[in-house]
Amino acid sequence: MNVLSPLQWMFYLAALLAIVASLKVITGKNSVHSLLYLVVSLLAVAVCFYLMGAPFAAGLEVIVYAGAILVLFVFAIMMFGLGKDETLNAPKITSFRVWIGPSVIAALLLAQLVYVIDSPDIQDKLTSNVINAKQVGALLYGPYLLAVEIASFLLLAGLIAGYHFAKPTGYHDNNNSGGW
Amino acid sequence: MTLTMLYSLLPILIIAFGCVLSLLLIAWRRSQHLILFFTLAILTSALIASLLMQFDVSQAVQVTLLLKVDGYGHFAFILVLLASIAVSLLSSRWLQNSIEVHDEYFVLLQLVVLGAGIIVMSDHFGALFLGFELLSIALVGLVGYCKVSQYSVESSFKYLILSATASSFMLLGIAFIYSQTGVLSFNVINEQISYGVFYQAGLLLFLVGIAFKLSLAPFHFWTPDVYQGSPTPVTLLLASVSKVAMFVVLMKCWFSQLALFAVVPKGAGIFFIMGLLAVLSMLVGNVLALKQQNVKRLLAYSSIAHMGYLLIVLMIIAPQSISLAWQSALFYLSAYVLATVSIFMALQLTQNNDELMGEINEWQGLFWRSRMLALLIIVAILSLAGIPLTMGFIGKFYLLNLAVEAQQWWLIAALIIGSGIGLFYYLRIIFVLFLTEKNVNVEQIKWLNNMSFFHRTTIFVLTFMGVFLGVFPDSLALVLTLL
Repeated sequence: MNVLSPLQWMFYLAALLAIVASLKVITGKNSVHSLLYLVVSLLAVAVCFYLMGAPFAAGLEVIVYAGAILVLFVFAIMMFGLGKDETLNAPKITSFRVWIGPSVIAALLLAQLVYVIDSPDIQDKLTSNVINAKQVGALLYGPYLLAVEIASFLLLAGLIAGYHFAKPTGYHDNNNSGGW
Repeated sequence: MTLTMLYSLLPILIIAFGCVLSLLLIAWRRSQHLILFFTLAILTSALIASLLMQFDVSQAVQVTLLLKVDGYGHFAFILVLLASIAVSLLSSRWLQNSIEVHDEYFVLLQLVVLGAGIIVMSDHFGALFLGFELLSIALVGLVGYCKVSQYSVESSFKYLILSATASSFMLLGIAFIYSQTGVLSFNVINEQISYGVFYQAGLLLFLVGIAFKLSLAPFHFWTPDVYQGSPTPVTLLLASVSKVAMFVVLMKCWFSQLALFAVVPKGAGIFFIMGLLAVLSMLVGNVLALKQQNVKRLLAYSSIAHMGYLLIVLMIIAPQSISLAWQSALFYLSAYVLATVSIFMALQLTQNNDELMGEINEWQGLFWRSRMLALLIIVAILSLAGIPLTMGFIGKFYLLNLAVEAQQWWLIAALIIGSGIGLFYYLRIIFVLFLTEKNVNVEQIKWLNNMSFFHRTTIFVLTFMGVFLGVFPDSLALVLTLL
């Protein structure tokens, strides 16, 4: 087998980190700790995208997933008042040990990124054909216009289904419940 | 987008417009009847629009990269629309039992139809995936719709997790295929290149995703539980709309890549796996159905077997027989949808209150109480079993014809053995219908005697269709040859 180039090494390392972080997400007992790993996993995927020469997708991954969706998750967990479940099942936090795992992975990712940006050899390869936002937008509103529309219907379906499940049962039966 | 493209997409556009309009309607006035009639009107106008379309395969219209509108897609969409009209008629009765206004139910129903429409018209893995997700997410909402019932949350979670698993398998498969062919469209540009092992792995993973939805044998475990746990109209939706859509897209994808299998060195491997899936589904479905006491569970297992029979149409090798394969599949699917709609209609009409769980024994002596309903069930069951003079028989005849042409002797053997086993549990239902009753459910009798004119007409039409198309299959087969 051929020896992997430094770029490939970097890519497989980032992919490995993404897998490790994802495994920690689903094995964690505390949902907030899992979320922490989820952020790291998404960042690792973003690095993967970047290393494949798609900086725009990487940026979107960071902004949309690690930024917006994770914040939504945190809000949902705080607002739905899982409070009791959370405190009963969570391990007692006596030190900052829970930080260690995510921070090590995040530090590794950072080191990778610095190395990749610093190395002119890899930069040459990455910047040779960059897919920028304009190209993506032209595709989305050109041949793939229908896909955007279908995706909006998909979101609508998710929204309605979610609303139905979240709606309190039988609030129509007693009309004095108010609110809605 | 030219005018021709928009015109050929008209049925789907009507449904999409209907979804948006129903949201506005809900904002204006929440009324059970209003939204029901609105949904029926939208579905019917989409049906009329598709019936008015040009049915001609040579005139297939490519709508952007994603969709390709052709006669087969139109026919499948007509089937989907007919089934969903039946679903909304059934739901009206079930939903009236509770006080709440169920408008989101009908929006979700329209979204399911939209998803199915996109799937049957898709010509691109992207459109297929989006349609697949739309169908699944909307169905998850519907499966767990009746939150108070015992199994609803369990079954909707099962469905959610398994369809998410299926879509991730499918995505990985699509990614593998893309990595080899370099196009996401179903049509392969260069048919002479031999693609490597990744192409085959991709195809296999893609098949796993589809097989989950079609509930083929090793991936069938969710089917009985989800069928039993969801409300009867939703089960009908799962059994008809989702199956028809997934099967049609599987055929589209398979036949457009057929040329590749011949070039692939181990192309026979794909056929072998497909054959294995088919034989397993036929045997497992039929054997597990033997001991079922619940009508929905029984139908779930029988649907596994039917999808197994249908896989025979994919086993053709010669490109000339593709059009015959399409005709057979569409005829078989029509027979299957008609029979399923009939049985679920009968099931819903006899399940007049929540105490009845849809056990077969509840149909005991139904013939002596309601001849019409019993006749409907008998016609449908005979069609599913494939007795001569029913549509199901002609469908199986088509399949046998194809299998002989493709020289798939193992599949023929499995088809015959499976149908033989199937006779046992299908005929048992018919025997139960004629048994004299011991424990009479008074309410059910009262309800059956007071069935509205509307329900009587529906039952009559379904029975008539079943008998007519069974005796004169040419009337449908001729339409199919024109496609």
